[in-house]
Amino acid sequence: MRAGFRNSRLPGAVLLALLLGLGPVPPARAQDAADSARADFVQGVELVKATNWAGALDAFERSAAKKAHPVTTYNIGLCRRALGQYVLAKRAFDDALAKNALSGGTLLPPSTAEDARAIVSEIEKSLVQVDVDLAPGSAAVTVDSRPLEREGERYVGGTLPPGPAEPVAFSAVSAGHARFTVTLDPGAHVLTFTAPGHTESVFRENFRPATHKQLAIALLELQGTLRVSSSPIAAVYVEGTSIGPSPISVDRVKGSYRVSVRKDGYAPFETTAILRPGERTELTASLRVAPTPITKKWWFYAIIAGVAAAGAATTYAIVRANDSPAPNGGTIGWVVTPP
Amino acid sequence: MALAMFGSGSCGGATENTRIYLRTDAATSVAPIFQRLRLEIYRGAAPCEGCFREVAVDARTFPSGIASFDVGGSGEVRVRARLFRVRGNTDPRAESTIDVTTRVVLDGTNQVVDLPMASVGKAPPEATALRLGGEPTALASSVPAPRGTCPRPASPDEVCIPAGYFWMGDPTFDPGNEPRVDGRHERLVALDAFLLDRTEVTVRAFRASGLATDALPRRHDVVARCTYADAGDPQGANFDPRPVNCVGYRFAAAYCAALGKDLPTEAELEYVQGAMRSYRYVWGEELPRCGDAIVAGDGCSAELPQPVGSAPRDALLVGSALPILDLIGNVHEFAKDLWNPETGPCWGSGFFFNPVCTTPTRDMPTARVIRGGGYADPTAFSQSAVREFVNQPDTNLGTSVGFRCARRIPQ
Repeated sequence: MRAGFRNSRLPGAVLLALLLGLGPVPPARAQDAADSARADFVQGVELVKATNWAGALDAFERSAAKKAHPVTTYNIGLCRRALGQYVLAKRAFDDALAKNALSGGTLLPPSTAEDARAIVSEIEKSLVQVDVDLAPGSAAVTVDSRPLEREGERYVGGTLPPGPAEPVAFSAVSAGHARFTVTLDPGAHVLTFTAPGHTESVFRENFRPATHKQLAIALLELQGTLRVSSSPIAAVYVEGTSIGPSPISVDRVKGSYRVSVRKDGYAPFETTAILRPGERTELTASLRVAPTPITKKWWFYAIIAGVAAAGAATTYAIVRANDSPAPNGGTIGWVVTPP
Repeated sequence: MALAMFGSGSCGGATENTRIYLRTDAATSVAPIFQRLRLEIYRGAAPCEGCFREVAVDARTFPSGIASFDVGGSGEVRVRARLFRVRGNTDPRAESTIDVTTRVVLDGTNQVVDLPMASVGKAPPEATALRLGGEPTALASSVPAPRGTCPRPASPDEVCIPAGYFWMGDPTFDPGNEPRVDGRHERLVALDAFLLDRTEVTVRAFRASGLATDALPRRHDVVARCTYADAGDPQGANFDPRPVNCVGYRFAAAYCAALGKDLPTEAELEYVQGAMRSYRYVWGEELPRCGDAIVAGDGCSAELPQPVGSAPRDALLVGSALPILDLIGNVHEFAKDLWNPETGPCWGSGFFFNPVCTTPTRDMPTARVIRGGGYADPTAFSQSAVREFVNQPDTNLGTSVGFRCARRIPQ
């Protein structure tokens, strides 16, 4: 549902008058194209009378493609305005007025040029302005599934054919933020903001005419995924902390991480992994058998066990008097006498 | 010599022992809030040799909330008693410890040192032990006791969450370099009983409410990850059982209010997500494996929120009620609270009773807390203690953010 303007005149009357000024008869081979353009123009006028604005727009655009003329452009503006396409309507009227001015005011009747200026003024008062503060500044934007179109120092939304989102090509960018203004037709729009490695954000609103809105969008950065596998299966450490046996995946914020893969009897595998937001980093460790240390020889622990047993027996003999339960000690079983 | 370090009573001779009673109003038998008691006896600035003891807190050491031990000798000593939570390493942390130091004159009488829950996270001034003529009585509660039982019968779509105490915050959580996430700071929280929806609000339930307006993105809108489908949508049946997402905070609050409910607070959500035991996940401490919860990571991911209850392990059974579903994953859930960093004016350390944050921050005054993991989020951030937020939550609509409702019970 788009907010509409009320036409102040019968459009058919304007168009019929303008039909007479479609231009001088062209010479030679261009004559056929001019005739065809004139036929499309006449069809457009008839469709306007039937209030078939979309059909009329199509006919006038065909006519303009064959032979451009400010009158045709003016009529295209009228059709777009009637269809609620105010941004594009204003562009058509501006174009018609500019070409008329270049011709010294000979291509549009004075009353028509005056009408065009009045309609442009009316449209300008009703367009929607959205001031966007976007982080990260490299994020891509669409309005109603259409990329933004640059127009002078601003962007307009909803005017290009549907297509992939594109980053804003210019804007005031500081501290990772992009700040820019988008001009929209009044009515319902869906603005989407996407950036690689970030969550997406969707903003939907039914804008009233002449709305000026401030919109701050901050996309959250996704984590990177680290997947570690090894042969044979081994313990995996990230920044010195065990995360479990391989194969295993962990998610971390972007950055550089020390990764080690360890297994008894094998030389440890040490490396550094760089994680990027929303991306997956694969790491495969092939562990090599390490020489058996003395602590891994069976006789080493046999000797240690013997020594430990002797030590424990000696210790018990020395301290057993003090280890006997305290006569009191309460529920904790502790009697202590500070020196 | 090493054996003597754990208080074998070898500190010297004594003629008549002084019995020290330690009283606490914290639970000490079933599911204790504090797991360890550390005792130190000081003569001067440092504990004397061998004057150290650490024991587990249970019904044997703290029958009826009172523990005891004996000190021989004479003169004045200081007893430092620390009742603390064990999480990660085994040393006490100030914010999850009752830390009391008391002067005791060793004269053979019974004396009492109190360890009240109200002093958790604080350092009360040094006091003198109270002398007793006989056996001590239980310590009166120093904090408001959580109250209430649920109405019977509760709706089958709701589950009664019993009143209780728990720890908010997990010091073992590693937020990495993510400044927008926290949840490491500990505080002790008491909650009254409340009713919680078994599931996140589904597309079907939201449509039935009649609250969906043009402002709610449909499943076929620009971003195909929104789930809401209008009646008559030929794909609607595929979306009806999924959680509704892309919904602003105001919509979520209005939906709950229309049913006579409210959004749960972040404390309530953390309580149930940690199975009322401050676990990392609703099932315990293990990291999720593929299929345990609708979260991303370890090769698992989903393009959309999944029908509620798709992950059987992501379920909490309370009593004989049907399980509460998708507490760890599927969609993040709006909490009632305004966002404050964990060290902000709403939070910090100490004891909190039915907390809810209503103080806006200066830089993000409208930001609202979201809890639990989402279908597109890493497993690490689906832990019960993890705190995240949505800034400008009425317009910044997230495809991984939904909600469920709670009902508070007049006490």
